[in-house]
Amino acid sequence: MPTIKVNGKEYDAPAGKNVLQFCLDQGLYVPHYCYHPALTIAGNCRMCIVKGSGPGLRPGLMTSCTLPVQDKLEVETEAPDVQKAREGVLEFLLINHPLDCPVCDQAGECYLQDYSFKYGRDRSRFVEKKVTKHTKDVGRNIRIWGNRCIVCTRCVRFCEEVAGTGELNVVERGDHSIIDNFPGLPMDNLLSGNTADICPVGALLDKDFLYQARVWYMETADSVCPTCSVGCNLKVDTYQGQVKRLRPRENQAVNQWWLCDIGRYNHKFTSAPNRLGLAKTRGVATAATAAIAATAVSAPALEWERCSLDGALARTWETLDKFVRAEGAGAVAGLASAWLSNEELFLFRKFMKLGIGALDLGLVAHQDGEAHAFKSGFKIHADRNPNRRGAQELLGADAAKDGLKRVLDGIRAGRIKAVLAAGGIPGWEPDPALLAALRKLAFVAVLDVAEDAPLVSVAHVVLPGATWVEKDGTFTNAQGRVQRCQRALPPPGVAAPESDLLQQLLVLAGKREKVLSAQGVFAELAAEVPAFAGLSYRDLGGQGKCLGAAADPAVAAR
Amino acid sequence: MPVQFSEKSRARFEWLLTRYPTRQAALLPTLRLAEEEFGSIGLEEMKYVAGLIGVSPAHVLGVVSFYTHYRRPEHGKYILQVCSTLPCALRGCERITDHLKKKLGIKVGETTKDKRFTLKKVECLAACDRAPMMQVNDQDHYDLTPEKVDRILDGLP
Repeated sequence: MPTIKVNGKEYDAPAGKNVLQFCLDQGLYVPHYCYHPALTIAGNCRMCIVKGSGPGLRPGLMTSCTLPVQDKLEVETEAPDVQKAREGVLEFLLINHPLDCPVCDQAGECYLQDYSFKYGRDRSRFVEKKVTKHTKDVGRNIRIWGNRCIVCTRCVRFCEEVAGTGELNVVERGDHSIIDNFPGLPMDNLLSGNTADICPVGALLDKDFLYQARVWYMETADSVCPTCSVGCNLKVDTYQGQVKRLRPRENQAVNQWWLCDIGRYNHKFTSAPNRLGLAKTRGVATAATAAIAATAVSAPALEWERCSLDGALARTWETLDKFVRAEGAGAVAGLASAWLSNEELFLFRKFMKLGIGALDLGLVAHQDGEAHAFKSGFKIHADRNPNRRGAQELLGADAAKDGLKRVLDGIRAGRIKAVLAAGGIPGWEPDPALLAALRKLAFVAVLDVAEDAPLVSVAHVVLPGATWVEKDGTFTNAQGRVQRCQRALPPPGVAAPESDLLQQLLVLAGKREKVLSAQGVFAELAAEVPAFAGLSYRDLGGQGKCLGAAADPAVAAR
Repeated sequence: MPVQFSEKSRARFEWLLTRYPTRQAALLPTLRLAEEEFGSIGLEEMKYVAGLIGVSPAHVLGVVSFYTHYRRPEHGKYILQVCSTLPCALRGCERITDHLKKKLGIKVGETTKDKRFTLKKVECLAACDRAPMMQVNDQDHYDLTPEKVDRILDGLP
């Protein structure tokens, strides 16, 4: 392996790797705009310039992104002439750049700002007239401020090489060069939001986040995208109690650096006006006796009454218990959704089996959407649920597959009289037959997140739950990778994570002493469910671990 | 009618492909071919060429807008390309451009209302020894003076 010297220190470095990436891998700081590890090397921004010398190399300043590692190479990343050159590069880049940082969304996470702070001159010597360029939509979600663009072509290469759609290019030339789409063919690929992420300056901005918040006021939590079974790693940025944007978080085993637009913009439901913040009940007292009298009044015919969360939980447990006592455990069934976390699915099953003794559990989920695949290999799965795999492991493969049908048959046959359903699927359009069946039941208790959720329309008790940004937990993606979501916001009103609600039901049933954190529940889960054996929150870290990792070293390496 | 090469141009295009290591490398001469076939290169022509070469239309737009030599639908009958690179600049090309602007009543980059002339300021056209120079469509004119420019323009059909 070649030995190279960086700033006087020796390193073993893989031959042929570019020096910039090698330095970044070592944690060494080298400023750069156009280089991105996912894209071909353009070498156009000149910011990653270093001082280099070595065998067969003419010593001097060179761009480290285009400099391959070779034996006896010596580079200096912060020599005085390197710094001087960077100052010059910045001065040129800023010739036509406007001083509009106060109204630019990129401010605070802008490479131009950061490098100007570190290397730039404190004033411009440019007295000529600035060239002005277009500000326009280049796609459904993305707008370009041409004056801010430094023509690094990251976005162009992204569309060409990752999305494979090639909608953007540099048009005109010299100081009139500007990124544009072909007239009538805007950038509407399903990865377009990433171009704003990788734009090193404020040129490409996401219209969805435009003027929403100064980035330094936002708080960030690491999470996972719930919109399909890929489980892209992401960051949830919040401000004043609202999700403002979702950004991809690098995970080479899952989403590389990217996030699709379907997932990226699917967070509006978390702060929608229809969020459930209070518990409510209707006709529960009659429902309990109805079980015995068989004169059920279907839920939609009754008026809602507000109720404390504790009261609603108590009524849920007491009513379900009465049904079991009057009709046997087979009279109560459970429906859990593929939007629940592993911890919640585990607790749901535990409550239904231990607390109730129910026979039938079913899985409810979004219907499949359209699957997409891109040039770089990035995929969007047809399964638009974050945790179907987790449900298969934790409810049981059989319940996940045929459970729903058995519950439906049981309701239709009159055997099942009461259902506990944990939904929380945003924008769900369930099978009308399911709702019609539930509507006839004497008692339906529901955990959900929206006032107008389909399950709420058939419920007698509504327990307000939390969306995925409001709770800690894990999802298991389609490849079996267990990944953590961290709480970014508190749930609205008295709403609580379903793991808390389900544990409180277990406490009421006398099957648990206290409510544990999600981490505590996961430890319990890992101890009881073989597929999760050996996993813990500490182990999962930021990148997740695959099921069966403890038993199989080959899996652990994934 | 959809934009499409004649059989002759198609054959020429196939021949061009054999002259270059990749399809993409044949883009410039293919655009020249399109210009000859269609008269000028507009958006539809760019899309057609993009399809032939196998690149995105945006890529072709980038190439066409990079070069000053391709004829666009908005151009006039005669494209006057005045060189503005160093030797021509030293030999007074600015005077020639100013004269043309005044004579035609247009700015650089514009086309006269009668669609007869388009004025462009371009980089070196490789006739430095006879600066200042300009191209009128494909014809070079050297050692220009305002009077000579008048004679050239007045002599055009």
